[in-house]
This record gives sequence, C-alpha cells and structure tokens, in this order.
Amino acid sequence: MANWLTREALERLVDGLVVTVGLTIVTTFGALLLGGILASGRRSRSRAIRRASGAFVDVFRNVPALVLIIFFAFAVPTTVPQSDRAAVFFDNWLWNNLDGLTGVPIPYYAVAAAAALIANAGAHLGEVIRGGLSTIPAEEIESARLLGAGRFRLWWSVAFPGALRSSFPAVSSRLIHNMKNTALASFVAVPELFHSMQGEITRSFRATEFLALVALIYLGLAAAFSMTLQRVETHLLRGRRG
Amino acid sequence: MDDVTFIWRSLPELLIGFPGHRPGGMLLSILLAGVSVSVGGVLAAGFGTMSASGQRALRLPATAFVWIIRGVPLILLLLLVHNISSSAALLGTEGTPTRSALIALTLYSAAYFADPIRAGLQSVPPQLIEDATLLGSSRSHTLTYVRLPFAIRSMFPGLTTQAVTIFKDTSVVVVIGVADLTTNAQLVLGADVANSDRWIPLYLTVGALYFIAALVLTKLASAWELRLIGRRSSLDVRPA
Amino acid sequence: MKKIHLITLLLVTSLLAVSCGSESATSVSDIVSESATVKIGVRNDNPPLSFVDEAGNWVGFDVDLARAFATELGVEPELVVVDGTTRISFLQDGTVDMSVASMNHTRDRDEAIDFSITYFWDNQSFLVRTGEFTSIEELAGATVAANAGSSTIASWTDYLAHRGLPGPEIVEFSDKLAAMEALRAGAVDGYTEDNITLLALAAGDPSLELVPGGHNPVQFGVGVPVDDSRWRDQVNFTLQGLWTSGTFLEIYEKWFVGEARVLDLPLGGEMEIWP
Repeated sequence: MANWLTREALERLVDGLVVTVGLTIVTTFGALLLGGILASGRRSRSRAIRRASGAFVDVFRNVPALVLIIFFAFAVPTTVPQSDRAAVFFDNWLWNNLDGLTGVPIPYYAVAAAAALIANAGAHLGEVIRGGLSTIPAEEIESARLLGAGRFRLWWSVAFPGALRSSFPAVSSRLIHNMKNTALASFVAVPELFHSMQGEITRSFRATEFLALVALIYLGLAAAFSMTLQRVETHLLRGRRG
Repeated sequence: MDDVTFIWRSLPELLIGFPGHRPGGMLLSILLAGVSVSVGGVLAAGFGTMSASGQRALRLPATAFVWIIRGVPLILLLLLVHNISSSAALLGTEGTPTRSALIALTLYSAAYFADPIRAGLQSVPPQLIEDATLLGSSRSHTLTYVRLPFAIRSMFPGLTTQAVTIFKDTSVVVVIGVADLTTNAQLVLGADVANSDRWIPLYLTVGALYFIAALVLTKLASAWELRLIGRRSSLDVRPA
Repeated sequence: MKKIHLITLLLVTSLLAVSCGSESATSVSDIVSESATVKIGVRNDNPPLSFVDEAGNWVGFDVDLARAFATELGVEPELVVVDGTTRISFLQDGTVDMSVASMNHTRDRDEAIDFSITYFWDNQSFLVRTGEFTSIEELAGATVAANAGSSTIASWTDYLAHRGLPGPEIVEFSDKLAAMEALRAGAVDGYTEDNITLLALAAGDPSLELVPGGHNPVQFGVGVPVDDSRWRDQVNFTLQGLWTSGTFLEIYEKWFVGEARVLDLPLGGEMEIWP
C-alpha cells in the first residue's frame, strides 16, 4: 500500500463514503417525491397551487445549491433568538439521538444540507417530470379511470411511472448531478467523502494523491449509480405496463 | 445600522467586489461563466465532433474526457486543477485561484456541451451532407459550415440552458478563495462582528441576485435564439 | 465500456505518478545564490501573520520576517502567494524555495516536506462564548469545532485521553467563518485552533473569549523542500542570524508586544542557537 494511504486515512475516507452514500439515498428519494408533487402541482386545477408550485420551482432551481445549503444551515437558526437557538437546533432530545445513531456530530447541519439538496434537485425534477407527464396519452388516464382507479392510484401506477419513464435520461442525469452535489455539504462540516478528503490533505500535506484517489471513487460512484438507475428503469418502470 | 442599510452598503462588494480585488462578486461570477462557456464551447465542438466520429481512436479519448469530467463533483475538479496547474506559468499568467477556476470551469463546460453537440451532429439529415459534398465541399468544410452550424442550431435551447446552469455552478469557487458573489457574502458577514445576525437578509439578497441574473441570462438566450433560428423553441421561457 | 475504464485508469494513474516528484542533485542553495533571489511562499488569508490590509497592502509578521530573511541572506526576496494547499505543493515542484506559512511541524507532514527550526511559538486553546468555560478541561466531552485535518484534533484527543477525561466530539470545518458561526449559534461549545488565529478571528467581539492555557504547544517551522540538507542548514543559520542580531525580536515586538501591537501574544519561546 502506498505510504501516504495509511490505515487510518483509509478508514476515515470510508467513513466519509458511507455518509455520502447515505446522503445520496435520502436526497434521491426526497427529490423524486418532491419533484412528483411539484409536477402535479403545476398541472393542478387550482390556480393558487399552480402558482405556488411554479414559484417554488423557479426559486429553488435558480439559486445555486451551495448558497441554499449555507442558507439552511447558518441563516435559518438566526430566526430564533440567540438564547433559544441551541435548544431548538443543536441540543435537544432529537438532535442528541440522531448524533448517537449516525455518528454525525452536528446533525442539524446534515439535515439542513439534505433539505437544501432535496429542494434544489426536487425543483429541477419538478420541471423534468412535468414534461414527462404531458407525454402520457390521455387515453391511458381515461381507461385507468374507467377501470375505477382512484386519484392516488392513478398517480402512483400510471402517471408518475409513465412520466419518469419518458423523461428518464433527464431524471437520471439530475439525480447523478445531485449525488455529486453532496460534496457541497462539506462546507457545513457534514462528514461525507469530500470532507474526509480535505482532512486527509491537511493532515498529510499530500494533496494530489488524495484528490486523484477521491476523484476515482466519485467516478466509481457515478458509474454504479448510473447502472442502478438503468436497472430501475428497465425492471420497475417497464414492468408496470400491462 | 438596520438590515436594509446594511444590505445597501454591502451591495458594491457583492456586485463588483472588494476594493483592490475587482472584478469580484457577481461581476466575477458572470465573467468566469462567460469566458469558460465560450472557450469551453469551442473545445466542446472539437470533443463533440470526435465523439461523433466513426474512428475509435478519436471517439474513445473524447468520450473518456467527457465521462471523467462529468463524473467528478465540480468542487473536486477545482481543487485538482488548482493543485496541478497553479505552479505552471501559462501564457504569461500566474497560478492564481481565479486562473484555476477559469481552467476548471472551461473543462467543465467543454464536457457538458460536448454531448449535446455530438447528439446534434448525429442528427444532421444525411441529405444536407450529401448536397454539400455534391457541391464540391471537402469533409472539413462540410463539418465547419454545414454540420456544426446545424448541430448547434438544433441543440441551441439545451446549450443555453446548460450555460446558465454553469453560471450558477460558479458559486463553488468559494472553496479555493476566488472572490465571487458567494465568497464575498461570507467575507462581508465576517468583516464585522455586528454582522453576525444578518445571515438571513444577506443570503436572501444573494439568492435574489442569482435568481435575477439567471432570469436575465435566460431571457437574453431566448432573444438570441429568436435571432439565430427565427423562432422560439417550445422551451418554457422560465429561467433555467 | 471496458476501454473507457482503461483510459480513465491510465489518466488518473498518471496523475498519481505526478505526485512522485523527481529528485535533483542541485541544492536550492545553489539556485538561490546563482539567481540572487529567494522565492518565499507566504499566505495572504491569515491575519495577523500574513494578510491584505484595507489599503490593499500585503502585510503581516510572516511578510516582514520573509523580507528580513532575504536581507540577512544577502539576496532579493520574491514573495509568492500561497494558500493551505499550495504552501506545500509549491515547495515540492520548486515554485518556491521556502514557505513561511504557519506550518506546525508534525511527523506526518515531515514525509512530504522538511521543516526548519522553530521560529514561532504559540499554543492551541479554545475560543468559547464569553463566561461559559474557565479552563480547557471543562470542555472535555463537549462538541467542539476544529479546522479540517488540523494538528489540534489529534492533540486535543490525546490531551483528554492522557488525563482520563471523556473523549471529545470534534466537528471539522474547512472554512473558518463557518466554524465561527457554529460557535456563535451554539452548534459547538468551543473552537480550537492556534491561539493567534483565534485571537484574530474574535478581535473586537465581546461575546467570545479565549480560554487561558492550551493543550498543544505549537511550533511553526519554515517549510523547505524535502531532503535538501544544505538549503535547510542555510535557512536555519539565517534564522539564527536574525535572532542574534535582534531583528527577529524587533519584528515580533512590532506585531505582538509593542504599543502598536495588533494582538497580545507574549513571546512563547526562544530560538535554538547553534554555537
């Protein structure tokens, strides 16, 4: 093993990798859910809902992810007076348990980063899925409704999968971009892979080695994620067709 | 000083940078995006052509390049480029963080534009190419004057959306200390302890600035598209 | 797909190969005396050691020291801006001959570069919200902030372990302002760094204070390229020259002791002088 890649360094990088994967999974599901909600909101009969969804998409697509992360992590706590801040955001039953469970020292920052990423990716997906929704032939919806499908069933079994299927490349691309964005959470001390790498670089004073190694790891993650999404598309989405 | 006065007083730093460090702030963000999108676009035309080529020796390196640059987070690419290139004097310039940011963003843009250009090239109607060849056009001539313009025209909405996205992505240069809008917001907050309760007004302003800039850029792109192609695409005119 | 993997591997491996620097037989000593210039890497983001003041001038203790060093050596100084990463990489590829950049000697770091004798003494304590803690031991087991990969992390962990106190919960930040915000907001109870950095960050803020004492006596050394004994000796002897001639103390007093001092940091040690 190369002398710069000590056992401790490798362990710390792996710890970071685990957090990255966890963060990716949480934000992927969150973004898909939010994207679906926004997409249908944009096509709602209620004008208020249409406008609200549209505004949300506009705001969270156009503000960079990093700015959102900083905002949720640092700016939001300032809405609470200084004396109560710690009790609400950092030091109560909820946060202390999360800390113990996940090993993340400041859970609120991780939650804030995840929320920012979900809002950002969800807004983008909202646009993409909306496009996908419009490609579903009206007959399909009609026939499902005739067969007695309720509104939720209609959405879950026909509209949503159909929209995802037809907009799949764009959805996949956005989800992979989101995975790479998890590296931005390092700015608010979330101990994911990029953050671990930064620590190792300062500890050992060896930048190129760790940068190249972690670049390789991200490439591997992107490839694995891409293949997983392909599998999901082939089996889960296509399989639903009658 | 109330919040509004604070924001008003900070605007110069946010928009054009701190004295002695100009261009900075939003102006620098736009410049970074502009230069890297232009140079990256030219590079992408090259890479896109290579990956659309029938020859493996051309296709594979181009595809590999695109795949690598797109597979790593931009923030990592920035650090990597800074680490490798900051000691080299290129074209008389010094290895400043800004120069590294430019190089990284250019490579990033090239990788993101290469695919749409490749797709565009592959969608050129064969008739068009045949006609050009019949009129005596050489292969490279056909490429430059027939195929590429067609490809760019047909992919134009996608390309401009991507360009606005890259403008938003420039916010990550804060990690190597380039004085763009995101960095300057941090610096403004840190400049005076009294500012520590002003996170919300300041970051709302920063968010609004990015939003407005993205909106303006998208409108400009739409107008350009109208001039270039003579019709708007079906793309929603909402900012990207 | 396989071919792409191969090419990727080749490209990234060549990057890794870049890290194995080449050795040269000439010492930096020769290069410096021939060109009559010494290239010194100094930061510009680290008040009060090296920063850019409001008028746009590059000033600081490190800056003054670097210039005095060149004068003592009898050559012209050429100051090169470095940051946390390039203060090492520039040494490794020859862009600078030495780095005066608040580098704490550690054995880990000694594998990548070499260090001169100590030229700056400090300690690492905690910045806390005023009135909450009176000694660093009270912070045992608390959630505290540190800079990513800093020497404070291992030091604080060991300090507590040696005294049988509960282990720390350390949150690593890559951005100092973010760490300060976490402290102010109550996300962490303390922020540990070199005292000089903490004093500079908290300057003028009555809501923060520095806990007296410290867990890690800090020793900054000048960074020099690895395995170049002649140059390292020259740097050491030049530093000792600055000390014995009184120039070092003059500069130190200007920044940390005298009436016009920027921060209050009494001299924490004495330079080793070889007879």
